[in-house]
Amino acid sequence: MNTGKTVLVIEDEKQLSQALYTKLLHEGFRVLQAFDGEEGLMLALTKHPDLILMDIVMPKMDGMTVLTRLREDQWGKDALVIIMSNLSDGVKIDEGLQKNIVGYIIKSDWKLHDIINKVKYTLNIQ
Amino acid sequence: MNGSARQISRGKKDTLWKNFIYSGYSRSTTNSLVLRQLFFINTFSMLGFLAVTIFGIIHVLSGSYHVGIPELTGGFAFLCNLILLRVSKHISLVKGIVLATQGTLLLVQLATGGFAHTGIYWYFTFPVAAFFLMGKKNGIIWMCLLYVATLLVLDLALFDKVLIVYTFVEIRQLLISLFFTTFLIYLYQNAIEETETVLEKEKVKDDALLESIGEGILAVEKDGTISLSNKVAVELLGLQIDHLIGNKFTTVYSLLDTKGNRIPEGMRPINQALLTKEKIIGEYVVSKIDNTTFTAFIAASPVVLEGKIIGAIQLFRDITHEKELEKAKSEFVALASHQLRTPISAIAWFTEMILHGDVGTISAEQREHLTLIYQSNQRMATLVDALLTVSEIEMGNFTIKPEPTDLGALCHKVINEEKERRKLTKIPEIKEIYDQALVKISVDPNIMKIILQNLISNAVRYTSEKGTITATILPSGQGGFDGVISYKDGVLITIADTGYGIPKAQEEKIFTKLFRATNIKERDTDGTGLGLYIVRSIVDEVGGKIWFKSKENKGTTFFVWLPKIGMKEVKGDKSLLPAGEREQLSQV
Repeated sequence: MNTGKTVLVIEDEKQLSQALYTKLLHEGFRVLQAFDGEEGLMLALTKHPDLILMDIVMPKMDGMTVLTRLREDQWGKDALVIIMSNLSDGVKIDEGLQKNIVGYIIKSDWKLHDIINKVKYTLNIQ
Repeated sequence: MNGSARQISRGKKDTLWKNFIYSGYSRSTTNSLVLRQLFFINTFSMLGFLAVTIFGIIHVLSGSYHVGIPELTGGFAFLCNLILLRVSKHISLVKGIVLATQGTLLLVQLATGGFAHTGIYWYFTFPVAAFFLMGKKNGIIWMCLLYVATLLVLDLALFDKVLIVYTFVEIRQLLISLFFTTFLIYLYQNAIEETETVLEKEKVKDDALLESIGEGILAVEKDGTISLSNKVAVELLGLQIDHLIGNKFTTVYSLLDTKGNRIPEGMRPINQALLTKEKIIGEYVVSKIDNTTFTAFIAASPVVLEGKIIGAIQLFRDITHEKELEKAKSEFVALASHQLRTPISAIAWFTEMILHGDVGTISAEQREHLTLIYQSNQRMATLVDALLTVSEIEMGNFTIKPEPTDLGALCHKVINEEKERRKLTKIPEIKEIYDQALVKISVDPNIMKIILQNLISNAVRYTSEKGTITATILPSGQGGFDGVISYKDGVLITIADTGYGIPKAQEEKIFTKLFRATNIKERDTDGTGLGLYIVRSIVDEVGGKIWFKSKENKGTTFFVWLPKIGMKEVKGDKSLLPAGEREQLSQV
């Protein structure tokens, strides 16, 4: 089953990125991977994915900066972004919400299955 | 506030008077007995000088030279003594001169008869003065000297060298009654000195004790004047001992709370102890005269004599170093648990994919084992989360964001979530009683939820399925719970169960980090030992109170009291989120 949608995973932890990559592929998405914020921002601005799953704490450029830069772009200002983090950090959540993200995920609390559901729900896929 | 401008005033108002009655010695000695003796000598010499000189003048003017001249000489001796008292530091010399003058005048009275032949009555003042000034041993010597001198005068009378106006019977009765008086006063002095020796020993012991205690001590009178202190207190406060004693404790240092807010005088531990008659314990920041500070653990207790408060004692110690260690430890735990989350997530996700059949079909046995791996990993995630919460609480920088909250509705929600979580096992019946009058109270709903979740989940876990749990939220003062401290003007939340209870011997430890009661450890291996510690820490932080009563195999009731005004807003750099709340946040 091919959804025809592209998801960009910006995550510096290789194993977590791998899990998301495999699962999303299984669910019929096209998946782009970036392992730091800079690479992620570049991929986002050039490939215009349908959805971005992004970590906050990353080398080179952190997730919040990526988000700020993305929102400055003509395409990027309306891009769909779901923030993933290990931080149960209310301040960051508030900050992210102000930048118009569509969701916030605490990785250790979420099942992969739920993340996929969240992605599908956001992209209106049944 | 400018600390250097803050002067320490010493109590000088009665110095002049003290200087007068103690003849200037009050500065050089604090021994109360010596001070009393000085007072006695001073008063006695002054009265003696005035009386004897006046009588001497009268006698000389009336022509009785044999009485008047010795009297004037005695008056002169007293005057010399008063002067000596003020220029000399030899207290014993002054004492001797007073007694010698007094004795000489008594002999004159004996020989001359004094006023209307009643001079010998004055003899009875001598043993009192001798024992009081010289103590029991030297007092006896002085009495012997008086007896010998008296006998010499009587001898001279026998040889008609002097003329004695008293009869033989009078003299005999004088000597006998003087002897008995001396004996009785000796016994009295003996008793006093024995008591004093005991007191002195106690005092030496007390002093040694005070100095050997590693904590600073301030003992204050009811009005806040410092009456006693020790070396550690002096060092901690960076002052001299005489800057402390006799001054109001509020003038020698000020107190801040751990967030740096100044504590008003009335709320300082010593004043609170004096006011409430209760022991006050806490962590504060002491701001010294020179404006440097240190974090202190302070315990202030009232001193109660026959039901009345007569003062308070404060113990305090510098815990700056301990706090730094604690902070370093919390930061380490925070960092470690944060790092642990990534591998936990990876294990969870890959296990989940295999279980879901993403990488091919698996056998029933493989599924069973993978499920166990998955569950164990979840347990680890819970523990790591709890540790992270603990370290965030301990670093004390979490946000409190109060908003009007319907506590009953929140509690109901928590109970339903708990039921949902345990839908596969049988759980006890849960009754809910909420006062409708308490519709909204200003609390942080997330923090409130952590408290309720922990207490309710404990109650469910540690009660058999046949038991009952009752969650009650009422204005405090109502509800009629016996044996409970009544906090007025607030909300009382009670979570009562009919479960396994807490063993009596372990009640004290129940809020301790990583502690699990022995009777539930065997029944339930899942607990982290952090829940009640987290609850207690949070309740303390938001200005509430928590306590409980319990009986093993009968049940436990936890009480949480919150002030009517609810929680105060705090802007920290972390937010505490209850389990399950994170998913909801991401549904926006």
